[in-house]
Amino acid sequence: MKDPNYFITGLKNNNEKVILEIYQKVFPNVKYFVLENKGQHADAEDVFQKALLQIMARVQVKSFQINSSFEAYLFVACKNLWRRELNKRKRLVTNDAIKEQGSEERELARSILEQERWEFFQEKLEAISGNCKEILKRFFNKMPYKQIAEELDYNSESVVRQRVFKCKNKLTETIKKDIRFKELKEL
Amino acid sequence: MSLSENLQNQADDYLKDTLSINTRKAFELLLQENQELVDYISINKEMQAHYNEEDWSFIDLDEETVELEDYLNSDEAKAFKASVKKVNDSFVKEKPSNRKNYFSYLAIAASVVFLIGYFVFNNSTSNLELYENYNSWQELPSLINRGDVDDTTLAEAENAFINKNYEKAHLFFDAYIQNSYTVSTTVLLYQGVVFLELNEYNNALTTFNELIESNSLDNSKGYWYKVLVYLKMDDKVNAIKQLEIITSNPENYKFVEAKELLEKLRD
Repeated sequence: MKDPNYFITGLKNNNEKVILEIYQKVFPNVKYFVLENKGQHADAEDVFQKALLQIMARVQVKSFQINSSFEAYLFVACKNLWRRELNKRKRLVTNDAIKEQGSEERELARSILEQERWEFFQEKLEAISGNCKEILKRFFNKMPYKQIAEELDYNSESVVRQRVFKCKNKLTETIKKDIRFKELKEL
Repeated sequence: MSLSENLQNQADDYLKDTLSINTRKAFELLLQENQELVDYISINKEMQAHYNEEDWSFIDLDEETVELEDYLNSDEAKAFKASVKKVNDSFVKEKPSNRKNYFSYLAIAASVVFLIGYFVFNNSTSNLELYENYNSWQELPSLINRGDVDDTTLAEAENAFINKNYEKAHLFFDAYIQNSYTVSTTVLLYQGVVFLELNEYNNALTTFNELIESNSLDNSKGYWYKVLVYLKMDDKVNAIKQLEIITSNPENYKFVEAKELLEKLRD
């Protein structure tokens, strides 16, 4: 694994060779993901370029740092941008909450703030116990208690209900304790 | 302090939208005075979107975007975007179709035949004659179709260049370079060629060196154009040096032509 700063510095210097290296390493996976999820080749290209710009903007404006591998980070950023795009299209189709879309730059700026919030919650989810993670994953995916009990081998629905209650409280607590939560709330 | 289980269950039903109209109204009243409940709802909403692979949680307010937008609208961001787009396009087009391959082989074959013919029948080709053979400049990419280049200075410069008014082209390119945050490699190429046409060899070499040292994907073009400068200067030794660099890596611009030319110059 290369130091993420190698790539960040390359991006900062508009180093096209480093950008090409990033394409060679990550683009095939992103393309595969987008094509598998209702997208076209052009969508993959679009998402990839936006994700790089997203990273760049965060580095320049928010002194953002990547603590994991750059490649993994970029892939998740692309995945989220594509999820966002699909939801945007869905919203347009259903006429649901039509909001003035604004310029391309504004849209990208919004997506950055959303990505930051996503990362915050991701971090908090990672921090709770494995058992809680499994149970909440199912709960938030709207799986009925009964099915959760079966899948995770709990004796009854009410035990699951208790676990969900406890895990959610724990999660809510850790989230609220973090000062960043207040900032995020204003969004 | 955390919420009672009963209240949480109501909140969950509220989120699932399964409350009756009356209970919903009562719950919404509660929401107005209970900040803890508000937080609970917002965190749960967020979690739902987070876990559900198909959801995405959009933000509603734009106050925080100002700083980011300022950056995204800056020249710096635009230059970055242009670089990424350039790499994107060349990466995506890297795997050419057979058809394209066929034509490029044909083109290479034709130029080889041409060169052989040229050398066979022109045994005493001078360096300058070789230079004349390559200085059509038609391979220079157009400056105008590069995305958001709507710069009139650049358009004027290219026009002057096409009309072989190199003095005028020089003035416009100079003005453009002075006023730009970053200068694309294409502009450097033109600027170098303008110097070459004006016989300002040192300036031409400096410009092409700048190109070679850039982080651009096509920086190897600089070596080829330096060859042309040396040919025009009748400096065979240095021309050969540049050709040796080009022929050391098949990825370099004009690799095939450089090989042919190198053999000829070494004769």
